Amino acid sequence: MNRLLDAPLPRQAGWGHVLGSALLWAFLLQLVTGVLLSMYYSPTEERAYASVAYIQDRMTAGATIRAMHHYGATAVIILAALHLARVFFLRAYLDRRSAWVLGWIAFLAILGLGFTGYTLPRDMNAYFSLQVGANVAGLIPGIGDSIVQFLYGGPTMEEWTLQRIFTLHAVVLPCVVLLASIAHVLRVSQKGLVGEPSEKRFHPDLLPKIAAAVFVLTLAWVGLAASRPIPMEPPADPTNATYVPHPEWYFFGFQQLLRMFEGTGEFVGAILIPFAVIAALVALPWYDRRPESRGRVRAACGVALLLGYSALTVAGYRAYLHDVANAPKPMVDVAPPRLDYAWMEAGEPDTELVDLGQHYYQALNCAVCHETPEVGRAMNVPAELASAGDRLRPRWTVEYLRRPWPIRFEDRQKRPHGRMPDFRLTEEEAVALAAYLTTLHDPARVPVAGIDWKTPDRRKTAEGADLYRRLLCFQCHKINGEGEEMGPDLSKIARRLKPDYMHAIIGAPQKILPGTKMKYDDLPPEHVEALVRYLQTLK
Amino acid sequence: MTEERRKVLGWISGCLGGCALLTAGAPVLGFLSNAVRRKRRTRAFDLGDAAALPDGQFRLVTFTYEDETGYTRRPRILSAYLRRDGDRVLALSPICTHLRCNVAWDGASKGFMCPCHGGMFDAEGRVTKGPPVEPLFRFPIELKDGSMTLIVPESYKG
Repeated sequence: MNRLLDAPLPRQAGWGHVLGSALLWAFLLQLVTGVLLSMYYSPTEERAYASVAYIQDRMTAGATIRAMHHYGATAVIILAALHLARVFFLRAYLDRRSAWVLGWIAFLAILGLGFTGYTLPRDMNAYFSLQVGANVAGLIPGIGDSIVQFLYGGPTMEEWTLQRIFTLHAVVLPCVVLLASIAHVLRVSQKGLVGEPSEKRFHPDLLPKIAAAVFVLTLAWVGLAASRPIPMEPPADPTNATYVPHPEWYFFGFQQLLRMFEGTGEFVGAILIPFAVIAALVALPWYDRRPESRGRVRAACGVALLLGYSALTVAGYRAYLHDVANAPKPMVDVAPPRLDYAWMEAGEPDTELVDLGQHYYQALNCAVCHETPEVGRAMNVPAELASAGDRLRPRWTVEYLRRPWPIRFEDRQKRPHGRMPDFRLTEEEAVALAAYLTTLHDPARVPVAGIDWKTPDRRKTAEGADLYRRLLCFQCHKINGEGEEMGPDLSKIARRLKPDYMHAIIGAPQKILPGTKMKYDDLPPEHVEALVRYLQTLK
Repeated sequence: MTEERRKVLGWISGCLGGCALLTAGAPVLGFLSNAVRRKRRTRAFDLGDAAALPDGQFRLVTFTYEDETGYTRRPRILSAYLRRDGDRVLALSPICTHLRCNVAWDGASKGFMCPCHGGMFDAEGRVTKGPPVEPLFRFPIELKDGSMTLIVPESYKG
């Protein structure tokens, strides 16, 4: 211990030498948050998404730990790149060949960790990023297909593809990084830092600086993670044809290379150029050996490389924004209908509109997330739609379909539960979909109450308002700003829910919403009716 | 003598170590290579009501089948863009031949667009723009006793 603290430092030792230690700290913290996440994450097709959603929504500090792991990847990559750039520009790799190569091995494994990491949650972006990333290897002539198949563990994504990627991410790559960094640190401490010998020692000339840097880094990191959790996207839909996937920011430049080269040149852009650049950098200590030569050329090449990749990153991000704005809608050649709201008052929509809505429902692949009688439940996260016609008022459905987030989830950052995608539907399309949804009934779940809700009953409505207070509903629900937030806000509830459904919930909350905290299973029927009549006035 | 002894024993140690690596390596490589050798079966799907498709328009049709992979059985979805021209049916794979994203039919440009890297194909599946080289895969269609069957060959990666 004392030998380490007393280790002599060169005269040049200063803030620049903090980068390596800060990097080590960031990586160790990544190991800790990674181990925590792996305790609940399930790397299977069926449960990966649900397990991440559980960590995100339900676990104590889950969203923060997940966000720490996410921002940590960025911290590690930035620190590693800065550390590398510093060694490159100061030419500290001279006479430190093995440390330089070990550092590169760790850096490439870190990039691999970044990539495998964002393919794990099995949301839309994870699925398509994995598909694209794995198939980049397929561009290598000859053995490419075998490499892709090796990554997948079969001809296409298989039951165990996620398991393999998880093994890479959580076992193989961290081991590579750890072993390479340990050897790297040992090698550097053996040789000492580059510079003129001086009186400086590790402590007190460097250690306090490292501590200060680690403190600031950690504070910013955890603060960011706690205040800005990472929202999840909708669960993966392998048949979706309009979702535009995006890599993490550090791969946007690489993605732009993929785009720039067309046809058979693709191999050049995706494989040859990155490989040649990395090989040239790794081999630097072997061809750049004469003490005072080519300093300017090297610096110019380094700056050109940095600027070039930055330009590619910006271009890649702009191309992504352009694609998002111009992605086609999956309606497959079907013209939108005439706008028709008349049926919402009259009762049943006409069959032509319903058929069109059903077509949209299939084209958008709503069943990937929502349970319906024909398809069965694919994901256990979002609302079932088999009884949508019993529950939802079509006008609300139209509004919701067109603007899913602001309507139901005011603040997506604060409550990252709103995973319903915005399909950029036209009003006509939304009305057709709402028409189809109104025809879905499930009497076993939402029985017909047999009460004439259309005829107003002032006495019962007033009784309902009185019951609402006496039963202390406001202890969980809010109406126009009064009450608590545990249950849904009821201010405009009549716009969303139909009376029969309210009747079913209030009559038997546990049956309709299993696991709900709402009690009162034994209200007399006339009280249930009165409450519903009161709630139906809240528009 | 001792130099000679060192040399011989050095060779022997090297050989023993190499043999140990090879012996342990054989089952390891065997286990790993399993992934590369796996294959899918050729499958056929009945296109029963293809005649009911509107003439000259694409429809995205999905086929579900029970897939057995190792210890699991689960439903897998395949999809195809079908277009009927008279009594001929064209079945195009929606998988982009670049990096296997799904292409979408864009009614405005009368072609298929890939959302990932800007690849585009015309209504026959030929490349018109972007990185892809190969055209969209055409599923073979078999006519048997008047009913049409779509064939998904074992080499299809979808």
